[in-house]
Amino acid sequence: MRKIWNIIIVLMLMVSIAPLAFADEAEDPTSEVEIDDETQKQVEIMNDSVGSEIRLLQLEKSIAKNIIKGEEVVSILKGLEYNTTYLEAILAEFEFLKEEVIDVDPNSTDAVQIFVDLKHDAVNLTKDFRDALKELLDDDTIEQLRERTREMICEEAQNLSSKIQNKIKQYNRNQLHKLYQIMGENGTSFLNKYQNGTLTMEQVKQQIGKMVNQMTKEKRYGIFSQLKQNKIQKKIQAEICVQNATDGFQTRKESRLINRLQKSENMPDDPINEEMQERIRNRLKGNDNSGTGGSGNNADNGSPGNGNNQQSGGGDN
Amino acid sequence: MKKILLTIISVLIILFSSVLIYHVFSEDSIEINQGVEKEDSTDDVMNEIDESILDENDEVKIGEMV
Repeated sequence: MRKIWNIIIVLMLMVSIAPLAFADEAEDPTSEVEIDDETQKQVEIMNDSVGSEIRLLQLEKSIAKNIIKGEEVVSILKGLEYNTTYLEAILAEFEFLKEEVIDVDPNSTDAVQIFVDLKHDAVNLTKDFRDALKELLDDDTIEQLRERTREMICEEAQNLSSKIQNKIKQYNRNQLHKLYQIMGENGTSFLNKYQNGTLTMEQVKQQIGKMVNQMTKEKRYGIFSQLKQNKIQKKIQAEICVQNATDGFQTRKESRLINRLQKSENMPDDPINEEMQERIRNRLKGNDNSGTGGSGNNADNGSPGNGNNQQSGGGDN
Repeated sequence: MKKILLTIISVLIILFSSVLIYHVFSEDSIEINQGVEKEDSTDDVMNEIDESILDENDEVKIGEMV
């Protein structure tokens, strides 16, 4: 009788353990930062030196665009006699960040790690600026500023755009060259025409599509498998790089902030520089809540605006 | 009493094995279906090619200042 009860208990335990056995592996709760899917996808091409260059140039372009837009906002607000010191301090840090992006060697082994770090900083500085504006202005004024800055043309960003497009063409050419090799075909003339702009990517793809259509099932499957395998390899490599980027994230962040602080301390004293140093010190003390620094500092320095126009910040975007 | 217990044991054994068989079978059938679908389609090869190349207007987005 006892034996039967024991068997029942063992079986019940097995049934209850079964879902655990099939469950997906849980996420690591000790991870220092969560890297979003978009960034994860972006770093997939960074195991290639051209791909790495593309991502860094794209980041530089986004930062350059935001600096120009920020400067335009500051200039408008200055005209309306607002105190823009805090906003200018964010822009000054943005300039440091841009220099750091320019200085990255795309061929270095930790290029992915640095890209993830600096992109994270760029997103946070952008958010700080937006939040500081919300503290300073009402929703209508913000909307007007948004309209004025939306279609702004930035010469620096335009130059970077054409550089990026050339690099992307080079990257795509390399990718297609590998594909032609897998297919056992010579596509050099098509690829040259694509790179010098005589053929569009669509036209090249049409030509490849025709070739794939004429292939035997086996050959087509072979190509499909090879492409799939390459994609999986890239994903695994990206996963490893992202994992490396999450390790020691906070330590690297602190060391970047210390570098910026030292750089700023070596510059001539002015209110913007002092504000930037204050912001960095606050974050080093552990007050790195994006956006909250803005309200804190403004409160310390009195009203950031001319008093009449100041309104409490709206909700988050 | 013995009969009831034996019935419970049998039911549990059947339940556990059916859950296990269903799980293993469904996993296999998904993999097989994926293989069959993608094996011979030109579109799937083209999709893989699409994924390996970059859009010329691709950007790294960091958010808007305003």
